[in-house]
Amino acid sequence: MLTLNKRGFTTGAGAAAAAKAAAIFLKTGTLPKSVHILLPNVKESLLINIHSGTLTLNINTATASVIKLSGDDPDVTNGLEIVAALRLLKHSIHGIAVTGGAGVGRVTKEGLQQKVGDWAINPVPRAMITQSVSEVFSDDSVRLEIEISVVNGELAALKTFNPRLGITGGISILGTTGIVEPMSVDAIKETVKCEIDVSFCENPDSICLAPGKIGEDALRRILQPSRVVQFSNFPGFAMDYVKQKGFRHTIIGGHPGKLAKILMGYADTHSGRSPQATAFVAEFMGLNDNYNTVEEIIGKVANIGGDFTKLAHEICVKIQNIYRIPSIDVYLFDMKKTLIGHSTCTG
Amino acid sequence: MHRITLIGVGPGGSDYVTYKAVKSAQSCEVIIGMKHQIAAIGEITGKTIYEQSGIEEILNIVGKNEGKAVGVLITGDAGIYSLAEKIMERFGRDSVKEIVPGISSVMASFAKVKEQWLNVKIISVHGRPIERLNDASHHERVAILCDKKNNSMRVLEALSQMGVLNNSSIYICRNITCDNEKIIEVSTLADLTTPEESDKEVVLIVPAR
Repeated sequence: MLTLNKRGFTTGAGAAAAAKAAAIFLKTGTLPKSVHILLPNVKESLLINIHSGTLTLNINTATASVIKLSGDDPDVTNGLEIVAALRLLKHSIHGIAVTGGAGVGRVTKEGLQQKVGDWAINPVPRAMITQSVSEVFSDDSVRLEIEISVVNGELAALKTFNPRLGITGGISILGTTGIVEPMSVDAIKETVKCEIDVSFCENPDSICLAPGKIGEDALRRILQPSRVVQFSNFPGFAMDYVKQKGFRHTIIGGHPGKLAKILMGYADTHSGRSPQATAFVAEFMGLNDNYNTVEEIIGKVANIGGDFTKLAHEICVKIQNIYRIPSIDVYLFDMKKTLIGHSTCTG
Repeated sequence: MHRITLIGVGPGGSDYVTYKAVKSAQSCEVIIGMKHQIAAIGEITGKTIYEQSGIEEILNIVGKNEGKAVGVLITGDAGIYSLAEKIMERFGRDSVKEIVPGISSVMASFAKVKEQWLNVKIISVHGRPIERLNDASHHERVAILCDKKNNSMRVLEALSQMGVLNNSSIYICRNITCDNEKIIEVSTLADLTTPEESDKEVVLIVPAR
C-alpha cells in the first residue's frame, strides 16, 4: 500500500480559504471551522481549516485567517497566519477587488508576474481568492474588497530573496496549483518498484496493477488476486518496470478518468501534469455534450445502454504498443467499483 | 515506414554543434527545426527545410513525410524534456532511426560555473506548475529550466519562499553559449537584473563553497 507524504497548500490557497471563510462569516454570522476551495485547472477541491484566532465581525466587514501548512516539506511560510479582511461596500463599481496589507510584499522591480507598484499576489492566487468569495456572494451587484495580510510576514520575507528581487515589506502570495506535494516523487516511484519486485517473487506469471484504491478494491473483488500494486500517477514508469521484469501476463484495473490518460499519451497522470480526460472520453464515446467529470459520462453511457469495451481495448493496444507488454488485460470500473468495460490482448 | 533522426544541436551557440549533428543534418532529405537551430547548424543546401516551432505542426510535418529521411532538430540534447518522447509516442519507437546526442544547456551551464553535474536533479518549470520547485529541497545539486512566464526572478521568489536556498550557491545562466550569454552569481551582493522576454534561462543550485 502506497503511503503518500502529507501534502501542504500554497500561500495562494491559504489566502483563498481565509477569504472564503470571511465571506461566510459576513454572510451568516458564523465563522466556519473549515472551507473547501476549488483548485485551479483541476476538478478537485481542497479542505483547509480556519484558524479561530482574533476575528472581527461588523455590519459590513469580517476577518478570518488560516495557518499556512507546508506539509512534509516545511518552508519559510510554514505556520504563518494568513489573514483576509473583507469589506462589503455600496459602490457604483461592482465586483471583487483584491489588495495586500501588512506582511504582504509589494513589487518595485520589473520581471515579476505583478507590475511595479502592485502587491505581490500572483494572478492565479488572485483568481482563486476572487472565485472563493464569489461562491459565497454570487450576487454581482455588490462591491467587495478583500485585503490579504500575513502576520509577521515582513520578518519571514527577510529569509527569502524577496528583498533582492525588489519585493518589499513581506512575502509573496504564490502558487499555481494550490497544492504543495511533498515532492518525493522518486520515493513514490521507488515504492512502486519495490512492490512490483515483491509481486514478481510471489508470482512471476502475472501481476495486477491499479492507479489507486478504486481499481485495487474492484480488482480484488472480481479476481481475488493475492496482491494489487498501486502505481499512483505513474503508469508509464510502472509499465516500463513490469516489462523489464518480464511478467507473462499483466492486469490493469481502474477508473477511465485515470486510465484514458494513457491512451491520450500521458505516462504521468498527475492532475497538475496532465489535462483532464473528460473531453477526450466524451469524444471517444461519440458524445457531444459538455461533461464535468468522466463519472458523468459513465452515467450517460449506462443510460443509453453502451459500455466501455472499446475504450478498454484501445488502452490495451496502446499499452502493448508503447511498452511492448506481451499479454494484457484492462478492466475499467466506475466510482462505485462496478465493472463497465474489459478487454484482453495477447501478443 | 518512418526514418526519423533526432538531432541535438546544443544550447544555441554554433560552436557547440557537434560534427556528427552537421553530418546527420546533411544526410537528411527533410529538416524540421526552429530558425535559430537551423542557423546554428550552418549552411545546409538542397533540403526541404521547415522552420517550425509548434509541437503539433512538427508532428504533422513528420507524419506527412513518412518514407523520407527526416531530421528533427532539437535544442540541447534529445534526452531532456524534448520532442523525442512525443515523436516516439506518436509514431512508435521504431520510427526513430537514430538519436544524435547534443550538448544540453544543463551541461553547458555547469561547465561555465566550473561545477560538476553528477547527481543533478533537473526540474523544468517550462510550461509547468511552479510548485514543482518543491522537489529541489531534496537535492544538493539542481538545475531548473525556466521559461518566459516562470523566469529566473519568479523561480527565485518561489524557491526562496519554499526555503530551498539555504547553504547553497545559486547561478542564473542566461542564453548559455550564445553571443548574449550572461551568468549571474546570486551572491548577497550581486544585483539581479531582469531577464528579457526572449532570454533562455537555467538556474543552478549547488552546495555553498
